[in-house]
Amino acid sequence: MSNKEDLALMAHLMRRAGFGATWEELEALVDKGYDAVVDELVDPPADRHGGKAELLIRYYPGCLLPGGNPVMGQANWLYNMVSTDKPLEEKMALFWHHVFATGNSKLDNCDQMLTQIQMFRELGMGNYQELILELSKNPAMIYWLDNNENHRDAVNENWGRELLELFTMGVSNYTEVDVREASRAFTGWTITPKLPRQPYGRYPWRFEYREADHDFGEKTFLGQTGNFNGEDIIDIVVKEPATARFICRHLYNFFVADEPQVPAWTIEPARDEEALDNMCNVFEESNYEIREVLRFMLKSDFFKEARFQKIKSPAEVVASTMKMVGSYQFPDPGLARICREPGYMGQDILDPPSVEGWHTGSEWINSGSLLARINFVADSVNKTDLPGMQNIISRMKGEGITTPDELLEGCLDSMGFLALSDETREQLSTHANEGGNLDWSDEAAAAERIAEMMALVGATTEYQFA
Amino acid sequence: MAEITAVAGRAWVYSHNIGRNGAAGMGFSQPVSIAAAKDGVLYVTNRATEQNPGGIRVTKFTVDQEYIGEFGRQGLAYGDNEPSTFTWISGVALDSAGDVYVADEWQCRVAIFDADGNPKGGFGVKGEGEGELSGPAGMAFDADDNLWIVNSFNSRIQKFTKDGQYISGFGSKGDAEGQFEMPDGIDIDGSGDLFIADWGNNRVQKFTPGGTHLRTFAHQVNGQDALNHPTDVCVDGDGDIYVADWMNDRVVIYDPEGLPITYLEGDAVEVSKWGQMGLDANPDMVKARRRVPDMVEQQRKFVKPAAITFDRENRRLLVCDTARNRVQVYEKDDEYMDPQINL
Repeated sequence: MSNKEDLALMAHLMRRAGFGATWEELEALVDKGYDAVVDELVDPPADRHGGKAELLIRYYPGCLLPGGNPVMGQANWLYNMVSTDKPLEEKMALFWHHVFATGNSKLDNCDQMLTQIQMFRELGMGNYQELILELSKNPAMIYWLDNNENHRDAVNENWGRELLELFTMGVSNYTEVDVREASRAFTGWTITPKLPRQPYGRYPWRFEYREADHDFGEKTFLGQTGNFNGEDIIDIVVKEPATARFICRHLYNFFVADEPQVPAWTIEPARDEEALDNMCNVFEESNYEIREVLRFMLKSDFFKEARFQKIKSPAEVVASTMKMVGSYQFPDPGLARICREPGYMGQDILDPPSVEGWHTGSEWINSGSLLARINFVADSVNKTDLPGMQNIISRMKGEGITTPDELLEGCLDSMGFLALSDETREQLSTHANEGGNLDWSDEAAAAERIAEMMALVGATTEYQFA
Repeated sequence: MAEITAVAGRAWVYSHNIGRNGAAGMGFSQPVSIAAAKDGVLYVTNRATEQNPGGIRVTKFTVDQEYIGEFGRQGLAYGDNEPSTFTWISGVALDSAGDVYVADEWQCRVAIFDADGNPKGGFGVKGEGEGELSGPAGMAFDADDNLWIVNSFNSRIQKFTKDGQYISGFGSKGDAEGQFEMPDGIDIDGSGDLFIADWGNNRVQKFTPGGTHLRTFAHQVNGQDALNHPTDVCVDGDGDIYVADWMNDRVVIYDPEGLPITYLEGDAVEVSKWGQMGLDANPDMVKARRRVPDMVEQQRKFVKPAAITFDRENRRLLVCDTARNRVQVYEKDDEYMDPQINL
């Protein structure tokens, strides 16, 4: 039997570096040891292959190339989130989707969105410079930010601007001239003409460098002058201290604790300047290896002490609840419905509201999205025949949980060792006591009490935090 | 580019392709199974998507690209429980009278239609026991007009009379010889032996009708040649065996001894008749196609071909090119000779 504090810490790690874990999984992970688990998360063993893509596509062949159908693309990704055995890789794909926000609303091509997400899976924990270079060549991004319209004789600054403003340094660290010069360096980086959607569906988009459309003139960028191409711009910009700070602050915001929204970062200090400085040092000293920043961050005291310091994103609410109750361990019918739930809560995955991505933290919550979150958790835990719920019920029965307060504590532990305020605890305890002791002679009724209590816990303010 | 794939003594000559991306009428929506009647009539089951459930159906058409009609429809959303409605439409097989049997992997039953698509009932009890259905996937009729059904979820192969009475069965879950991991397609050769696509074990296995294991097809000469989640298998009248090597986007052809002899990767160099009708109505699509430098090379290839059948009567290989929503047609030529090289 693992120590409860160890289990709670591991639950915290798996909520942040994945989409949660069941009690049984947590016990196995605790046995491995915290640091070893972090090492496995950032360097997954070779025998792990991620989401169960073959199974999904066999039963949902429409998820392979969903084309303009965003729902089947969302179904594809959500199933990957709940079925992956490389949770941090999948979480990093979601992280980069936040940062390098690209949307189906313009692309009308979920095939290319899924290709981009797959690129984030493969490179998302690797070298940041390589990732940015690949992003510059990613057809979805090229189309999203109009670099296919960026010509030698007619410069389009959209990609060049966002590269500096949103993907590397952040505002206030460059001039309009730098934007112009960066954009000139990326002229000719475009997409090969592609086969249209008729008659056989969409075909892959491919990067093409058109030398004849590239501006080979001299450029001056961030104080350096040369005959720069796109690779040179990336080489310069990743070495900027502002880039380290910008990317590490994003990582901190996503994994550790909610920061102000990105546009405020130039005027609002970081929540933990010392932590951010240390992350930046690791980023630079490792030559921009994201994996090493993650390893440092997840093992740090500031991470371990940040339990319930950030509000779950809708994707986290949905995927972690699905994992908790054990739904969609197999790609059963209904994926096309459940994959829309994050959208109802304000996060249409594969379709962020703008290139800036989603505003996070308290902005996830409004009267509509909060109700959607509460209802989703309540609906999920009420399906007591699901394997995850069955495990929770069996374990509580096996532990002899009987009294109302044991019931509450058992539910809190089953939902990630949730910590409640005194006021919330008292309210839930009062309600539990009104129902009296659990009567295991009527197992269905006991299961109903557990589901009801878990639904109430899911409706608390505290449960909205990861 | 192939178009003619020749090995010693025979060749597979690409003929044409049928279909286009379409949720109704002249088009397919993720075709996952195909059956050929003797007169060139073909039936394809369209899995479609939950998001566009109207596309779930059986399409009837000819090898000459004539659209005849469609039948069956999505069932779950309508809340009804008729055998002619489907959730996960899967295998299709034809009995000797030409009736059409269509499986549903989720509802675990088989619907029966006449050749015109009129419902004639169905059978199937969901369960893991003998004679029960658990994820029925591939189906094939034997020479006695009995129906073999592959249970993908509990890895059993079962024989039924054509009205659904259980006769016999074999198989269990596992990776040992004679066991299966989520098997899928099935075919029966002229001797009555069974070929099963053992999807999760990346192999095809051959059995006697009594369930005795005869051979495993999964050549591992090197990693590149290994099968990757094969979904279907068929056998021609000469004993050559065709495997839909689904995740490798190809068809692998074996000789009767089980040795791999060649591969097909798709040869759809032209636009199908139905496809051309769509293009004719969309001149921008035609313009867009003309800009693509390697249009034919991209267009021709299989993408996740899930189903395959051999029309022994007409010596045609028919491949469901699932993600491209078309059927690629090959003709087998036993007298093929390469032309002189200095022509």
